[in-house]
Amino acid sequence: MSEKNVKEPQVERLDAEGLLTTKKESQFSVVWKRFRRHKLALAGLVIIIIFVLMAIFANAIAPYDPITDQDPYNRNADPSPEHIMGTDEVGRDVFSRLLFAARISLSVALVVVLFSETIGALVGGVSGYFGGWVDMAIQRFVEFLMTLPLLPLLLAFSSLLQGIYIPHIPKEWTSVILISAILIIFGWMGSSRLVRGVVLSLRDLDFTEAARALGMSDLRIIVRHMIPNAMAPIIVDATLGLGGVIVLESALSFLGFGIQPPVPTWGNMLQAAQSGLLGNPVKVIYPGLAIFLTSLAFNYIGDGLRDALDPRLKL
Amino acid sequence: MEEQKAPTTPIHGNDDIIVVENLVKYFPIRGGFFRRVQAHVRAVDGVSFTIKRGETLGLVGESGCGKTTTGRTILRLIPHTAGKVYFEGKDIFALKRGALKEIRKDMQIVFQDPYSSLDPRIPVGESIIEGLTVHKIGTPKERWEKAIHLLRQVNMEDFHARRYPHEFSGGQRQRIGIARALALEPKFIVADEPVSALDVSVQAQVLNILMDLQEKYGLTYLFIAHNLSVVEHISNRVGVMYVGKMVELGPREEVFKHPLHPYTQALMSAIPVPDPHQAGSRKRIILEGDVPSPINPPSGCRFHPRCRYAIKGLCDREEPPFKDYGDGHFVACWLMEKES
Amino acid sequence: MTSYLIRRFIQMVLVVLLATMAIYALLNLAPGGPLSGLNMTADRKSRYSEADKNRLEAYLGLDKPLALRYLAWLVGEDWIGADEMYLGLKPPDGMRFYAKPGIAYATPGYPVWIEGEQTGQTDEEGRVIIIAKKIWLRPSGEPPEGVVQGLIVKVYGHNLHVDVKGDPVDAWVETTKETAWEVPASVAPPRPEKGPWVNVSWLFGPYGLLGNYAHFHGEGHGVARFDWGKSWAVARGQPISMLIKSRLGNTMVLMSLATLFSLLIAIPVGIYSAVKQYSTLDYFVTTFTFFGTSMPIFWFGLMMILVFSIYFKKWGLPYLPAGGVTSVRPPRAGSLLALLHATPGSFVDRAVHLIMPTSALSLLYMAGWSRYMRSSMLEVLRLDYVRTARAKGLSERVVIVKHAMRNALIPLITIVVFQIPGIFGGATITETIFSWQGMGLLYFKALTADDWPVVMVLLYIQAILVVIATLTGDILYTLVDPRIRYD
Repeated sequence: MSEKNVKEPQVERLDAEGLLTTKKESQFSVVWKRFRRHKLALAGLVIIIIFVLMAIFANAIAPYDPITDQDPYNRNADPSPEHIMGTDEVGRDVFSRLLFAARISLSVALVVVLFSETIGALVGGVSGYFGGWVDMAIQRFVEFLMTLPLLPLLLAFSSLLQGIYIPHIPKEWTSVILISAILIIFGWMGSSRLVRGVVLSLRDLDFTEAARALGMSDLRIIVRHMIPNAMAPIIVDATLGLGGVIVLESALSFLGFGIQPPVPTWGNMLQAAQSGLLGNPVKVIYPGLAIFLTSLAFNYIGDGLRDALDPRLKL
Repeated sequence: MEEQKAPTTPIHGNDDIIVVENLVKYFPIRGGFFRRVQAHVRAVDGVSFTIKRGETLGLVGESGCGKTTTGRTILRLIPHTAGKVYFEGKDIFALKRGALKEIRKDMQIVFQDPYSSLDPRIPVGESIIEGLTVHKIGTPKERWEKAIHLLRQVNMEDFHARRYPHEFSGGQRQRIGIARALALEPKFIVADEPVSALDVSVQAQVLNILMDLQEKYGLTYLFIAHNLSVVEHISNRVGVMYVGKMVELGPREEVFKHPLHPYTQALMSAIPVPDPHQAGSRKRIILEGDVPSPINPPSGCRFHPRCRYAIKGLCDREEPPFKDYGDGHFVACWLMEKES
Repeated sequence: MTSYLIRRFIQMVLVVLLATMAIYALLNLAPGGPLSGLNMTADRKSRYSEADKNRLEAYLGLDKPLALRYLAWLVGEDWIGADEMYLGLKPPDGMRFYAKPGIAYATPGYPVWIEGEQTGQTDEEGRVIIIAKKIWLRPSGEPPEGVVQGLIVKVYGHNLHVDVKGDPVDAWVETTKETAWEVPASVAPPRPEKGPWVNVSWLFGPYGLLGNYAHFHGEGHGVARFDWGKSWAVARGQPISMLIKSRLGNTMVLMSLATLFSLLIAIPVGIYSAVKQYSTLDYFVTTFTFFGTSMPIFWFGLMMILVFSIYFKKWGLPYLPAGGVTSVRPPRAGSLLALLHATPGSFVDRAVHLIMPTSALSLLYMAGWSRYMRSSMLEVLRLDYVRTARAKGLSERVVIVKHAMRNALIPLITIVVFQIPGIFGGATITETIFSWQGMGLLYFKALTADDWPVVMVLLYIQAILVVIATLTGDILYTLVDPRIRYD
């Protein structure tokens, strides 16, 4: 970072050019440098990367089709060279199902978090920036939604929406879409509160006032000052949210109100394994471990990011 | 709300860069079940003054008296309630969006808190040239040159441009804030307690920079402070505020040496005297009671509950006129009115 | 403070009302809503006559507009069509309504005799219009001379659509205030003796302000009047209050034990970990909290069953029961129960059944709460007054216990208070895994069986408890923290 500074300032032009060209990449590398020091967060990142790669290349890695390759003569089999994690109650390869389940669980989590954080940021930003009765109305509404007990409501809604038919969508995917939608609908309140808090505190700071004094428009202040400053808490919240959504979706699927078989998810695999608990107990381990590891990894990454993104921390 | 009296000050001279006429700013207080407006904080309640081109007007008063609100309302950073402000003859509050943006180039502000006045996520160089970017002045390269130039003006190094605010001390940040304010080459700067948050040793540095720059660029300052020594050091004229009202305004020497308003007299008596031999010659006036609430200010002269000379039946009933009692020395006090 | 409490109470009632409205509307309007299954059966027109279909709809309240259906669910339906009202002070039967024999008891699908004059006119649909002088609802015995016999197809306000016996042309029967009604006492029971009764026919009665819906007279008192209705599926026909009564105890035992254990461990652990920040123990605690908060409880529960029930049995160790509240049969040899000589239903039996669900839940709570406690304590320790206390030379013990801990414990109020709804509502996932017959499992079963009355009552109770918890928390804060004042 300092190689340019050593130069004598006699050639102003060069320095101005230097300032012009070298500023961008440094911010990312600073964050990365700080993040790298958090060993557990780094380990979490490695786990997530492996899981994501496995999910993306599930087609290539999985030895069997997760839904159609059923071997009725080889049900509930123990691990063997052909089936490294054994087979399930209808003779499907558990390892292959686990890979495709990663695809579903991770993408549901990603979609849900993306949408709920965006909605939350928008609602919270509007609420905080404009204040007044808009803020009042939104906050009462958010408080009200947060009062409602989450899990019972999620269960009630997914139970209600079961058996709904969405046109143009393969039947087995409807539950994936419905569960994502429900999780988004009940998932944005937390981030909206967070963003509102950040915006409120930023709105009162002098640098936004200074920007206004410089003649900046509201929109530009939001884009240039508010959003970048709100970004760090949002990113941390979203990372932690990814872990949360994975567990929540699994819980719903586990209770039978989430994503429906035959589409494999870690949650409904666990449910299937539970009903065969006495027959082949070991299979309970794999999907649960996947859920736990992913959630733990996201939690550690979030923790590492929280430290790395704090602008007040020095290198 | 009592009847606003006709402005008494404006002497629309050509050298007046700022004319403030009966400026009023109320903040609503909401409460109760339906969050209705229940009362107002009368932060600024009918203040009038002018600032001449190239001079520094010091604005003093206890915290909460409305100094800062006055400064920010003049710049239209917060909406006003009533009154007028003219900048070079233009009515600030009547300006449309585009014209307001134009005029912002000429009026800038330096803040009190050096820790919140700079965006922590933006290198200070970028903060400095932000105004140039907003107004599309110069090429990116020229802007950076300007940033370096400005940093040197405030006694900082070129390479500081790429650093982040957290890497600087309070005094350095304050200088960066000044550089940012200067970037658009303004004519008028509101310095809102620019040194109050700094150590005494650093205060002098920043004050000297401000004064040098004034000389160099012919700047006009509205210098807001609660520290009287600082104001005495930098101002040409001084205004004294008390609970939303201007009680005294005049040339520095006059106000400091011959304060006319009892409140100003009490303030001046509280300035520590460097020479202990002289200290005995001056009596410290200690004010009784607390500063009244701006939500429900006293009737008549706002100072009357604490004033030793308060005239019953007059000071507590009617508001004294803010009048020039010679050589541009304005006072709002019934005692002066009686004497003359 | 009093005015604050009153305001909060009004707000509380409003929030609960809004919550019930939202829940009711969403559950009823959602595509494929709670009655979808019943709608399907009702739609099989080949089996049901139109009158039968209308009767079923009327029975389920489907012919009422949504708002009225909600009101009926909330405050009962005995007032719809009522002429008189009695107000008592005891909650369950504090408010009684009485409807005189009249249109209020007219139900589609039941026989009716009409005595009246035929106007000779017909309506747009070709039905003969009759102005009724006297009407017999659900009559028995021989019909008097000159009455029209038929079957009610549907009730429209004060008028009846009647399928006349032996006549292909239907009748449109209009009733007036002068119409006399004869209804058997089994359908319209006589007014109870208790009094005094107040005339409310101007409001609810057939010719009152709400008269258009006066034919809905029913018996339900509504959830707000502590009549929680009957279950449809989980325990068909059984009052929901009985259902809840049988589960509440189990849930409360489980939840309060788990809460108590978790608090007893989480508080000292969190404080210790904060005081000795960066020590080995602190490192251990933070790792534990991370693992605990990431751990899906349903997996953890299953793993516990796997190890302590299944593998322990395999390995010949004293294994734990996999689920349930008590055992049904005498314990098998080799289990922990047998070892303790526990007879089914005894205290030891219950205690052993509690071990696994309680530990699973406690782990979950402990992880979150010790983390919370730790950060709260860290925050306090950084404050100047704690430093001052240290600087004064007070012993570390006094500083921590007297100065820091007191204030660090204040945020814990939120946690404890928000356990209140949980203690009554139960933990759905844990109870499901360990088949613990509590409220959470009841909710889960009600959902799986589409038992919507039960689902809605449980949600309603939850909403009330959450609101009460919020209020309690706010009040406790004012009592504990002198900085917070409400007026």
